[in-house]
Amino acid sequence: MSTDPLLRCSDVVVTFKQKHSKEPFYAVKNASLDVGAGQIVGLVGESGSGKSTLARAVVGLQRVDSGVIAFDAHQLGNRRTREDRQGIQMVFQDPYGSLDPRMSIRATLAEVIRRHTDLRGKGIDKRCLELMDMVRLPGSLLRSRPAGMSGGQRQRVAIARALSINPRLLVADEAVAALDVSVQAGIVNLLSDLRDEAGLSILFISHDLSIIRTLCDRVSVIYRGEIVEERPCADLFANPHSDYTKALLSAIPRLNGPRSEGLGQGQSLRM
Amino acid sequence: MTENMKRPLLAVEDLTLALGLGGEEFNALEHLSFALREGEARGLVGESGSGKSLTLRAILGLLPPNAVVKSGTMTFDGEEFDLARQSNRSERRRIERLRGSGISMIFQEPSVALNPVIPVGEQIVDAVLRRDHMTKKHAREYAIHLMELVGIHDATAKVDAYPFELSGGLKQRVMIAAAVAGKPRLILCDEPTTALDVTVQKQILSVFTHLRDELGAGLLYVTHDLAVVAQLCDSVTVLYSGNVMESSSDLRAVFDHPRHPYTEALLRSTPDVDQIGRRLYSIPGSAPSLDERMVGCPFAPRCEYRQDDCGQQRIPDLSKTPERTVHCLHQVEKRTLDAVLEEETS
Repeated sequence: MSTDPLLRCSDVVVTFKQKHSKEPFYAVKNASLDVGAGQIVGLVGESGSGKSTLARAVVGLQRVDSGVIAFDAHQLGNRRTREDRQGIQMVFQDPYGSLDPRMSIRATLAEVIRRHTDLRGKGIDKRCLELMDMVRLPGSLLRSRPAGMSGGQRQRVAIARALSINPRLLVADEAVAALDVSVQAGIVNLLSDLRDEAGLSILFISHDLSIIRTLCDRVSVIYRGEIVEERPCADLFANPHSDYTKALLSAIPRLNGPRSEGLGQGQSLRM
Repeated sequence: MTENMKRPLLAVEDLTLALGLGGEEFNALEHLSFALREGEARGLVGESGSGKSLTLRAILGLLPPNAVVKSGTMTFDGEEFDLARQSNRSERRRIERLRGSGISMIFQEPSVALNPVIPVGEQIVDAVLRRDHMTKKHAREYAIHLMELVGIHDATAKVDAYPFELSGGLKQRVMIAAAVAGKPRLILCDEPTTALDVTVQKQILSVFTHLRDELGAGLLYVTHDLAVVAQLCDSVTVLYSGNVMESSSDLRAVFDHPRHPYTEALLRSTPDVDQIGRRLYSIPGSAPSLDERMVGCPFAPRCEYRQDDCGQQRIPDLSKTPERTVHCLHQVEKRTLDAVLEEETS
């Protein structure tokens, strides 16, 4: 019996070369993060904080300089095997850019299924229908192409594609940021149902704290490449420890919150 | 309050606008009316395709070439403009003259709004000099001051940068600085903070609040983010598929007691940090595209309160109070939204 979480990142470092300096740029500095089985873990931070870089490192799209990324107690290298890739799948932000406009939805799903499983012909058809059902889309859409579909429908297809080979961890990088609120609510509910019904684990990257609060079990706050706080969601929102988290939480616009205040003392548009 | 404060700064009456698509014309905005006083911030909310950005563009005369204004007038600061006559050169010139110190606009996409071959500081200086007479040196200092005010920390170092050298968030802030530089009477904001981080957004909202409260500027604020509207705006107009669903000079009244089913649905689908453990409401279906629009209430096909008469005719304003407009035959009964959300939580 191992008590290891499904995903464990310890002391992950990712650097990039800089144009004007010999010093490398540390995009992710000694970041540690766990995702337990059946958990949704939020990773929240501002633009440029390194949250997407860390997500890409988890999926194997980004080379790691040092540190360990272990999946199911098995260490993953910078080059992933097919089995490694099968366990972790990713959903991207832009549902318009991440689907091939020339391929029907069936072809989009079948491509992945054929590559990773033994299913052929009727088996693939059956699997496609199952997947469409999982993401609450009508099976009749399998023949359509992305052009005729709404943003919400496309994002559901992207999720279906990620789920097609039964991954145990889904990495969702700003997966609802480009959607309208009414549509976004549907995707948030879908992700929460997939956790409850299929036991899927999700690493949910977002800058939107209201969605993180609604969806996640645990949350990690990343600031300038460092994880400054990592705790159960309810705890963190009720009682933030780090100064950065406090600043972040106090800046969230609330439906019933206080009205925005003017500029502070001594600040004015006049000079 | 002086007489001047009560008179509307901007009034748009009966704006109907069509877009040409493949040889046919479809109405993208229908019979839109609203008004705005000095020192008032009005939120214009709705999902993509509801016509909120087109409304702003119609006011400034910046419509895309395939747009035709069928009817509509605009009054700005006591002067009347016929929006349907923008093809007329002198009428267009009159509207163009308002840009800058009369009305300015902040776009959602900063990279198209800034000139790529002019340093950002100079673009702000230009906006300052268009309104105020001061030396170039003085204007440059003022530009740096404005850049600091919108949350650019090392403004002195960034003032001579070209737009391509700055990140999207910084460009957005430069554009906001340039838009407020002329101290306009009215600022049209098209999702100005959607791409920004919450901490920066908070700073920008403070700048807008300052403009409204201290300088008496009017704000017409387009966004899909209801929480931002709740923090900044005094009044609100809810658009769906080019039609006003609900509108009120009292924003709190709409947010606490939505009367139109669409407003209620939008609020129920918005995640809020203060409401925990609630399953978000997801509106079934999706908004109609331009060529799918039909008679009657455009929201009817997705509405929980729909009845047979909803699709028969254009729905008039059926509100019983003058400060509110509700275009719905079967309005949400008067229970607070909090009560609805509480039911959903338990």
